Amino acid sequence: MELSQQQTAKLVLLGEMGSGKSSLVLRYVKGQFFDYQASTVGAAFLTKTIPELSVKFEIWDTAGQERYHSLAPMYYRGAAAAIIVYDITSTDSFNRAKAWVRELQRQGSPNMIMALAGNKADLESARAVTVEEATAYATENGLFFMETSAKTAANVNELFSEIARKLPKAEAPRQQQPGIVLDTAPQPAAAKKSSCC
Amino acid sequence: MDAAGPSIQLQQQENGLGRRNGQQQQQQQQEQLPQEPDQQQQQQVQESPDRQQSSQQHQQPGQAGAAAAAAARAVGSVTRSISSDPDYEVPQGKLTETQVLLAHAERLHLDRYGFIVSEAEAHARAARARRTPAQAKREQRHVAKWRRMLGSSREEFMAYAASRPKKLKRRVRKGIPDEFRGLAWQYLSGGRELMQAHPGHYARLLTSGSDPVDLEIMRDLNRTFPNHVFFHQRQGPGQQSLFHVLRAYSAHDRQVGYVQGMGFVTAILLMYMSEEEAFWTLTALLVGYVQGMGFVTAILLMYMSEEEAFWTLTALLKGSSSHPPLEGMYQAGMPLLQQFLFQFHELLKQEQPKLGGHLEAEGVVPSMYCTHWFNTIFAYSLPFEQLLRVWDVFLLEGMKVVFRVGAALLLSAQDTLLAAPFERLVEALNGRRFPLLSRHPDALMKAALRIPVSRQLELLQHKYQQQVAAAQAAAAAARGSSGSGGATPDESQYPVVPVAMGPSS
Ligand SMILES: Nc1nc2c(ncn2[C@@H]2O[C@H](COP(=O)(O)OP(=O)(O)O)[C@@H](O)[C@H]2O)c(=O)[nH]1
Ligand SMILES: [Mg+2]
Repeated sequence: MELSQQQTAKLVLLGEMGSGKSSLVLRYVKGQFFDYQASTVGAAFLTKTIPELSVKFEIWDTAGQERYHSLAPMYYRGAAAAIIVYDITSTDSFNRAKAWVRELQRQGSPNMIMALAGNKADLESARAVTVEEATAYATENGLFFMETSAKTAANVNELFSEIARKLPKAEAPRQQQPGIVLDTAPQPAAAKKSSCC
Repeated sequence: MDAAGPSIQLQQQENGLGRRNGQQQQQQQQEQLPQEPDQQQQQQVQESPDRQQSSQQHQQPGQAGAAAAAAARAVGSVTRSISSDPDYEVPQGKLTETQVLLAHAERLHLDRYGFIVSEAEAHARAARARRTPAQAKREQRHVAKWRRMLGSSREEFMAYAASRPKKLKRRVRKGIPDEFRGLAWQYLSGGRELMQAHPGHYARLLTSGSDPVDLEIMRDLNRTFPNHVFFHQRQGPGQQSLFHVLRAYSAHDRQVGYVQGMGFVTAILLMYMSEEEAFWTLTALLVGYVQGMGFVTAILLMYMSEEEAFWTLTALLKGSSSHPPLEGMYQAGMPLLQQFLFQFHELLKQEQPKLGGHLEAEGVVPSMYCTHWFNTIFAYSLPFEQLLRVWDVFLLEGMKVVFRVGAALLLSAQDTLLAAPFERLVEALNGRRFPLLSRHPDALMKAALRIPVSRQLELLQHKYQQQVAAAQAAAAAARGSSGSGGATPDESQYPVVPVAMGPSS
């Protein structure tokens, strides 16, 4: 019966290539970290259940490179939550994160939970983005913010658990599941009750 | 932090080995191989990699000199030219002498292709590669046929290819002998012709000024086949070559620049050929094989009558349509990739209605699992031996082999897939454990090549183009009239991915 109440939530990771999206997911799902994490071509899919919170995440880890941008909507459309990752040692990656936030505000589902993750927090000596700056930005935009390290595992579980807690409680998990939407649908974000097919 | 550092170091080490054991190795090499002045002229160890490997495995550190000598002897004994093409240099890349030395220095265990594996796995692979005398004999015959077919020049090979296309196809499908792969891939892609037609171009590209794209390339260098001895060392020879080729390509084709995925394709090429050759082969694949038809005609006329030449040329041109440029996979909006994904989805539904129907019912579409099949021509996900066989066919017959192999992989897992709901489906499809892959590469090729796709792909391409046109028109109309949320052209090019679980769950 626990199972029947379990909520499935689609979660997508976005952010500049090399910011550590794949590493965060791998650390969270498998407890591993690789210095030579293979770059992501296309997207990767993993799942993880948090039994205490009765949440199961379906995680889409995307390729961060700008050129893959045209594929991104397929992954964030209908997502219950998004983690936008930047690398605290790179201002560029922070700017890129802001661009993702803007895009999600425009195109994502209106009640999507957005988290901003300043990753590689273990590289304090090379820091380029201050905590204050990121916090201010996150507050301004209603994002939930944490600095993380996929390498040391700092704040990784916390990040995902916090998202799980913020999910709208499971009266209607189906809201997050529009099912198949064909390209004629004008507003992708509209969380339709999935009655199609 | 990974900003300025690497570029400087890469420059400093222009033709050296990586930091860690570079010095020592270089010295050894000079002692053992005085005839070998330059690291760039690495030569390939072609004979009995198994023997080499086991000798490495049992060396003690003190025997480094002996191992180097053995490696040098082995190299010396195979520097025979494999084709009398005067411009063809023995390939660098896969299991070069440098790599053998490096691997020894670090006491790594390699399989015969230079992948770093555990000791047990190295033995297992060596055992699997062992041939019965009968098999060995058959292989020798195959090699001899290829040697004859390659002839003494590209022109000779092309003429053979044109006059006996069926035979060529059969032999390519059986697998190009490993020692000829580098050359054959260049011939088949047209890369070699491009290279010969543009002397000095690659060298010029290398000197082009720095560009923001360099940083993106660098970020991926140490994550492209880090488990291969040529590439595993930070800023080692393999990573430098990879950097050079990708950067040259991005300067050559600004519309494409560098796109994640290209690194894997280039790395595979670099395992079989020099930087310049890899660059031109990549160019031929992405931009298309457009050069020199007049030249080919002239050559054909040396070997055959006018009428024969005409028909051969027609066959060649038609054949070359299997190599339409692939750069659309990497250009803004990735239009060609989107087309491939559409075609694959529809193909499955048409040809495998049960499986295709199940995937569709569960809301699983190709962008959820096979972008990298196309974008890296499987380099990202197939076991290496299977990959080589797929690439052999790819270089002759073009992209359709990717569809065939993809479909064969899915079919081999059909029973499992049919029983799986959305989540397990996507996980299984993203995994690398398709039943066919644990068998001999012949099994994969046989299963794949049995699946007919040419005609279907053509029709589906047409259908796709129509849909894109219609969607674009609709989007334009929507923008014009209401202004409320018309899909952008990018989004409307491909049916939007279903986002969560299947409708029935
Ligand atoms: N020091 C440090 N390195 C990290 C961290 N997370 C990822 N990396 C490294 O950064 C590189 C890019 O990571 P990856 O997860 O592939 O980034 P992605 O492109 O966003 O998926 C890899 O070499 C990782 O090992 C971290 O928290 N700390
Ligand atoms: Mg990644």
